[in-house]
Amino acid sequence: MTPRYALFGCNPLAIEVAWRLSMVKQPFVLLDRDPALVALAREEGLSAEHIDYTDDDALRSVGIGGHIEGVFCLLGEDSENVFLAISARAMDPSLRIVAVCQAPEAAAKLLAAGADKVVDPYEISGARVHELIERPEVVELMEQTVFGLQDLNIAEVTIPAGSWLHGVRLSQLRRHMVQNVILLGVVDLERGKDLIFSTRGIDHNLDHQDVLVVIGPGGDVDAFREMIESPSAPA
Amino acid sequence: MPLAQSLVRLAYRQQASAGYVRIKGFFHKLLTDPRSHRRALFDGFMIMLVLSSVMLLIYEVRHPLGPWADVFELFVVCVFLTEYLLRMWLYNDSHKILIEHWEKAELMGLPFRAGPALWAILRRKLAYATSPMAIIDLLAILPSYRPLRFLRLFLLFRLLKLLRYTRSLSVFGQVLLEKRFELATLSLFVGSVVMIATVAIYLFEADAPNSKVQTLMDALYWAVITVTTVGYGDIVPITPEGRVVAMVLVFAGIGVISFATSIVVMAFHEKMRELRDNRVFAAVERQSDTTIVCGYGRIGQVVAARLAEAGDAFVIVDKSEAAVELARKQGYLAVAGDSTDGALLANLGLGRQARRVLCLTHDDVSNVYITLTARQVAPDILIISRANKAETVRKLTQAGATHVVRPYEVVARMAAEFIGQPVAFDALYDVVTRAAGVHLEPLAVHAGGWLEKQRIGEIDFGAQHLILFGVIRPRTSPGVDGHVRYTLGGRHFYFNPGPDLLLRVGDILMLIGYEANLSRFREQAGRSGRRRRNAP
Repeated sequence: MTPRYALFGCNPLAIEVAWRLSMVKQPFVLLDRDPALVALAREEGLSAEHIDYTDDDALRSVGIGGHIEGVFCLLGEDSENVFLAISARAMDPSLRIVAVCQAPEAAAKLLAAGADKVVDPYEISGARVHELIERPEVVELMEQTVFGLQDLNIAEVTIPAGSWLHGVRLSQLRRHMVQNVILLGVVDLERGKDLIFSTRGIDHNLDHQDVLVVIGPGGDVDAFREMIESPSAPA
Repeated sequence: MPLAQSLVRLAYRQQASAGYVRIKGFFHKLLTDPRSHRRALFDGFMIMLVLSSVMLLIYEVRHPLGPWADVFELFVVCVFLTEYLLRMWLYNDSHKILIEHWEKAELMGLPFRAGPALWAILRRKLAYATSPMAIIDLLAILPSYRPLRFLRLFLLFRLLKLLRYTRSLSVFGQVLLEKRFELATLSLFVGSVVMIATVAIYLFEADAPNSKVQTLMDALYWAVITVTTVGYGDIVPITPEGRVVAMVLVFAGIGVISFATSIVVMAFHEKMRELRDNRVFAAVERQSDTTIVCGYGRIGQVVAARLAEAGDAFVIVDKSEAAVELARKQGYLAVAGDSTDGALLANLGLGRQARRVLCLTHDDVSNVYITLTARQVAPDILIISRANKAETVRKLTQAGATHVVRPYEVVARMAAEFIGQPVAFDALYDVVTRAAGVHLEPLAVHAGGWLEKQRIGEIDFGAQHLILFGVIRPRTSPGVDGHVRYTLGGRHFYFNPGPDLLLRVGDILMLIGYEANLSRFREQAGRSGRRRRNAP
């Protein structure tokens, strides 16, 4: 299978991400400069390749600028990740780049280098610990359902060009929502690129390219997606 | 022997009396318990009393004072005397000695004799009376006895009494005590140097014309003044031999001074850490619901910052001095030490007021060990532990961790979710971390509240600008069909339940909404059921 995602760094973190991706059946490849680490990842049964990420031709050869849709910069040094993000962004402006940072001040640099999302492992873990103290029910609920292995998913549905929802009000859509899903919010391009939570109570005027964010069991989410994407309103 | 009999009966009555134990406990807290808050107040009061009485006595040396000064002095002496007697009483339990002797006699079938038992009691009390602090206490009472003028000297003992009430001052005494070997060596050295110099200067100078060294006492005085590098210059050697002695003595003096300084400085340096730690322990003792944060790496720093922001009490333990220094700079309570050490954790309130232990060191082995230690001491506290390797999670749970956080997993999940659905993921992340002002909050259904026995369909969440995410119900409640249900530990989670779900006491509503709307709804839910139903 052609890999859609490139994971740089064959460290424990990258292997963890690889495991997550294989759970959702996304094809990926692990890449590193260190042949020993590559061999180690291969031993775990993951597809891994030895390349020098400082070399643009090598990056092109693994499919960046081609079939690779997303890049994970998971290398141990912030400077390495910045370098990688700059190189990858230059090759493909539409690439989705996620990077981890070690020092908090590196986050801004990574964003400037072209990363879409910077994840600070320590910040997130610390926040998680504090959440567990303050609101254990919420964390437990999320861990077990949405993030966990049970069939409750969060999904974003983009209204496609030919959809019946173009020019329809949100309240009208609600009347047709027979599926067991919760509409968390809407990205209404008339109002900006940020998500507006439904708790604001705005009756959005929906257009194509607007995004609906819903939570629900897999089957219901799929049914909802089908309804949104259909050219004619349901009976 | 009726006297012995009644003594033993009295001892047993004391042993059984709850009132006696309570009173003794009260005075123990007031006078001797280092952790007690009451003791701190008492110490402050006594320091004030000592200082004011000493000031009064000094003033009195040159200025006659009225009768009120005598009354005050009498009051002070009464307080001191009471304190002295109370401390002697607290020192041990005399009735236990009496009972012990009685029981031994019973066991051996010998007649009980009160004499030896009373002697044993007296010996214990004498042991107290001869301890250094007790002697100081006693001597501090004496200066008020006017007829003997020289007793005024004991005023100094009243000042020494301050040692008892200020921990930092008593440390000075401890430092000197710990360094007694070095100090003894030094005194021996100084003693012999001074002796040699005294004899030498006397031999060379005593018979010289115009010499001021007339007696051996003059020689000793000169030697001491010179060796300490004070050098008044009232007595100076005039013979060449005497001057050579002086030169040698000056160099010896510099050595002595530097040696003495280094001993004291070293001792204080070693003690300084302990002093600072003691201060932290005392501060922690005053807190309630403390969180012990083991490990002040990046994760520890994030957690500490969040705890501080929420106004929660916490204390940091880290092996590295640099990390502790960093925490102190932030103004946090921090102790340098090994958090696998049970005694250290106990000093920080584990098993008493500590509510949570967070094991956040980067070493899985340490985290397991801390978890185990904490769980053994305190079976019902919250323990959150960090696991770096996946296989540690199970070990931590076995060791007693309430929750386990695995940084790699958290990051991997975020990164993987983000790449697929960035908007949805950001939305969810905002809700969970409350970043965008929208919260996901639990709301329990209480008995008598208006939520009890309401159907979901009867509550208009939309009008309140809230989203009902779902209902968590204890598994003990009977299950309900026709709703999407997930298992959640020992409970069920009903996602987006239909309008006919009937709420029961013990249910938890999971609501999404802005803080203001949530609190308004929470307030409504707190009102009683009847009033709400009658409301229009």
